[in-house]
Amino acid sequence: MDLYQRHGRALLRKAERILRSKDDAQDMVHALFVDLLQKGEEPDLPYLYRAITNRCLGFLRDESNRARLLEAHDVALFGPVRTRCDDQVIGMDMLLKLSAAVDERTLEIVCFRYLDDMTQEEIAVLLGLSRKTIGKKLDDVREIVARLAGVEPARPDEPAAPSEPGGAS
Amino acid sequence: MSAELRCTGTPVSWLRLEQHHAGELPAPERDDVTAHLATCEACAACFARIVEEATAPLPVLARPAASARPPARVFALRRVAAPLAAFAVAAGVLLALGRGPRPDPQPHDFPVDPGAARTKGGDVGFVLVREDEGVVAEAGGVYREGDRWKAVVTCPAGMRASWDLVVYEHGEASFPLDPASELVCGNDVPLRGAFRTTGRERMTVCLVWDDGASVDREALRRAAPESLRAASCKVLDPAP
Repeated sequence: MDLYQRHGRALLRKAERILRSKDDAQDMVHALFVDLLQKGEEPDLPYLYRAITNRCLGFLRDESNRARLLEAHDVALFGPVRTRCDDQVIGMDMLLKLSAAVDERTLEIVCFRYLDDMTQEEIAVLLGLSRKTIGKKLDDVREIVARLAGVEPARPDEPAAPSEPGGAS
Repeated sequence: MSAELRCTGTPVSWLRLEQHHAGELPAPERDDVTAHLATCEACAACFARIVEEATAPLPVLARPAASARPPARVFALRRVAAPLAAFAVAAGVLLALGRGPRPDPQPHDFPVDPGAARTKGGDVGFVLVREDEGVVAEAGGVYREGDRWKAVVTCPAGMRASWDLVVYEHGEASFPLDPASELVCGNDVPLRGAFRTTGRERMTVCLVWDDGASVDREALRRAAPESLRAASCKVLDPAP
């Protein structure tokens, strides 16, 4: 099965970064591919990234899953922390708090930025929004994260430069 | 979080790392990423994980457990809670995705038990499929401590019903999976979720369905397996 073989592992890793549970990540990915089978679709990886993100966030928002995820999450599934929100790492606890504090689109952006390490430009392209909009959303997130963490926001999420170095330096 | 590696510049996103590994980045970007990985320990660690996992077997594609909360009262079976050893990729059991619309998909992600029960419901039947040290195997009537199982249903296309799996042991009923009401009937359709067997007692595992209202768990608790009207049951004995 081409699509699953080609992108299944990438989506499992992606789901594990959000849910930090191998079982739940596997379930989310399988659900996605079963739906794709039923629709007869074979989208590209960026589309699949969005699709699995939204499924995982829906799962995360479900009250019946939250306590278990918080209790049983495996931090090792996240990997190196490369992007922080000011000095805050978006761990499971913060992600769950954010899921109750921001709208779905903003939470999606949080995942792309702090869990997937995307630049604002990448997020803007992926979501079909302007970089300015992404920047504003992330500014809002910084304030919310600071409030939830009980600290003052320190600095902008990214420099307000018109362009970024494309992710590699 | 698991590691304190700091990126030396702007991190290469996971998406781009995945695309880089898949050879899907255009040449200029590919060169940028390659150069960055050569100097950044944090990004290189992420990419190393992708490379390392590239040869690991993918879990067998199966219908998911969208809600993974454990049942309120399960003594014999329970949903998998610990990280699982991955299912091995068994030839012929992976779902094949084709192009174009498929109005009546029939996933074949598990092998079919030729002796699958088709009782009391016309053409409805189910098999229990066991994960066995990486090999997907059919239920053989015995279980071992810690075996992980999935229930795979065959039902007529277009059939609408609510479904549940009930396990009887010592006259008591337990429900290891969430009830299913949106099953798309066909051949070999896995029920959502999986469960483990524990203990040393004979157990009877029944697929029950109701084409009217939801399956009544309280009624099932009071019933005996042999008295169920819309059900298909299998007996599992502990392995010697």
